[in-house]
Amino acid sequence: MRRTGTAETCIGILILALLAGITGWVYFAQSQFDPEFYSVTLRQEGNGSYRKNTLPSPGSAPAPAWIPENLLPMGPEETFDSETLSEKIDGKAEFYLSSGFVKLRTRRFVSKADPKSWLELFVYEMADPTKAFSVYSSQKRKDSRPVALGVSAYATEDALFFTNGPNYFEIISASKDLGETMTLLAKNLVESEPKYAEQQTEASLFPLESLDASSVSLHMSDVFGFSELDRVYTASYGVGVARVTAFLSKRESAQEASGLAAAYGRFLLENGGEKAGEIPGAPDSRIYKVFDTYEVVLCRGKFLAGTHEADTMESATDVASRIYRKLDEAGQ
Amino acid sequence: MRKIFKEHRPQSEMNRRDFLIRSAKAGIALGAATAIGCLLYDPTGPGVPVEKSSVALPDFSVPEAGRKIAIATGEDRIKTVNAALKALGGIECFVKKGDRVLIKVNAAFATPPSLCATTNPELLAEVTRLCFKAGAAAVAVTDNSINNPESCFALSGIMDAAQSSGANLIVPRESLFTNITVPGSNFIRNWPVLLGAFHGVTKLIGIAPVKDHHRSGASMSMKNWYGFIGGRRNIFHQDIHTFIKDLALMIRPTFVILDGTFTMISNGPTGGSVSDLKQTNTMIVSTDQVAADAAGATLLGKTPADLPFIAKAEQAGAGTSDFEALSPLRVSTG
Repeated sequence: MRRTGTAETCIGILILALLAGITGWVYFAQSQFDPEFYSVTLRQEGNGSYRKNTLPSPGSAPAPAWIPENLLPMGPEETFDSETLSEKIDGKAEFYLSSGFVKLRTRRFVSKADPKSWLELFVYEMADPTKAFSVYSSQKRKDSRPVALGVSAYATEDALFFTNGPNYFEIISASKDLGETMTLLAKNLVESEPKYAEQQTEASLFPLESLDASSVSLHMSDVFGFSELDRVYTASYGVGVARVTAFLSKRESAQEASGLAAAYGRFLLENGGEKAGEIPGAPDSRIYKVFDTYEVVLCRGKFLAGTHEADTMESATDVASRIYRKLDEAGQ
Repeated sequence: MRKIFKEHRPQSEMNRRDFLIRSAKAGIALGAATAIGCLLYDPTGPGVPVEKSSVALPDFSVPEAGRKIAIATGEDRIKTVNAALKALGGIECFVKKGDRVLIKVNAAFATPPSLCATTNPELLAEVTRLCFKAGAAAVAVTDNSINNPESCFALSGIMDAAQSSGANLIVPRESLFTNITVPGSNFIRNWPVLLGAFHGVTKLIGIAPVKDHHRSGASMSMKNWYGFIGGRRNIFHQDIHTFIKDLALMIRPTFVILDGTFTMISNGPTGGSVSDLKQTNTMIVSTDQVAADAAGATLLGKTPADLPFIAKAEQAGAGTSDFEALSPLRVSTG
């Protein structure tokens, strides 16, 4: 048998040692396997206490042109995207993320006269004006009052909310004394924004008689607890002493509207409802009695509409009939 | 080119003996490699993350106190928390001379106290005062807040309340977090937890407001322990009910205080206006965190069954959802 030379032996040993080293490294790496390392979603920024911003210091950042004279910035603007939104609003992030969220900008301002009086401005940039109106309207607070800004707006005793184009604004104050300042700030913001054309939506088809115009809301998903029901406008009507919630949704086709009406009807029946007839002269309508309340579900062309949880059949059918006629007049 | 190897010399023909020896060596090498492969083969794969450390935090409960709940009603938090603690036998039943008390507040957001999205500072100051009065050697306050911690502690009023009442404020920093695995937990596995805040601590009190929560339905005592968790914890919102159960398994407090003087009934957990609040005039103090949350659910107009994390925590052995079975001590402060 041929004998190997010294160089061949040395190179052979070197290769074997290298292979042994690689084997050892693979074994060690395997024993330290951590799935989190391979998952982008689990990657940590530091070990938990990482934060981008710092304690605000009044007047440390340039003031934007639109802030009222009696306010100073408490710090720079902060920006959050879909990855970081929960670092600002925690569990509410999912609500915005499922509603067409693009970006959030926030900034705090403090009163020059009183350091304890401060407010925070939230500007949610949404995918389009409809989605901005949706997050605005579906969070609407009770006991609020409308604010004349030329856009959809309301105020509570310590906050002001409005929507303009694709943006939804919240101004939240730490003091009830900043009401006028909040209104002035909101006006300045509206004036500093481009003029957005008024959106023509199906909400304009709600009959005006006894309508509470400030109650119009847009719900993007899981409406009335029914997972298939999405993109639905609701509005509140006063019928005598009763309050009735009406709903309206434009679908892609008449078939989709009628299919959804049937599916929602089945959902009501599966959840304790029973059939209670139809509106006279409206063959595409169904009345359901669900425990002690009444629902009317109707479709007309591409529209699905009706009333929800009315206390009496009369009030439910009164509003639903008017919607039906309005849709007829609109050529649906 | 420089010759590295010796010149090949004409090889002698391989005889049968050499062939058999070489074949045997090759066979042994193949067999050994196969045997090593079989020995090292892991049919289950890596599966769940390797548990670098399986840590059970100390049990801070007071065994002789048993499972109790007191529900005090009234507008004044100072009066109601004192009344509830008195009904349970007084804070002296829980905090002894020389105890080092950690108070876990909810300082999640840099929002004013008026929004009730965070622990009320006056309530915190009063509980701190009571701890010192009972003989506590030290009181510390902490939370790994959602927003920047310094802003949260300052703007929520918690920093002033802690400092004015003599408590030490622990602001979360990198070195205070340690990766741990909580036995029986689904998610707290090799995950950073604010262990550094527990150094030397002998008693643990949670103080949380009652809030609506978009994802979990409610944020109360058990959800409050979320502030001990580090890392990108928002991923746990995907299965928030199981995660809250994990939190209840991780923490066994001395007692919890659930502040329902004002309940955030909508747009939680941040709120945004006092219009999101309802005055419910209730202070719940309990050694059973599950019972406290079950009682708190009623302030939100819900039943314990409406909040799946309560049943999960009960099934995991963290407490009982049937708070009425504990014969709540009900007191009114007028």
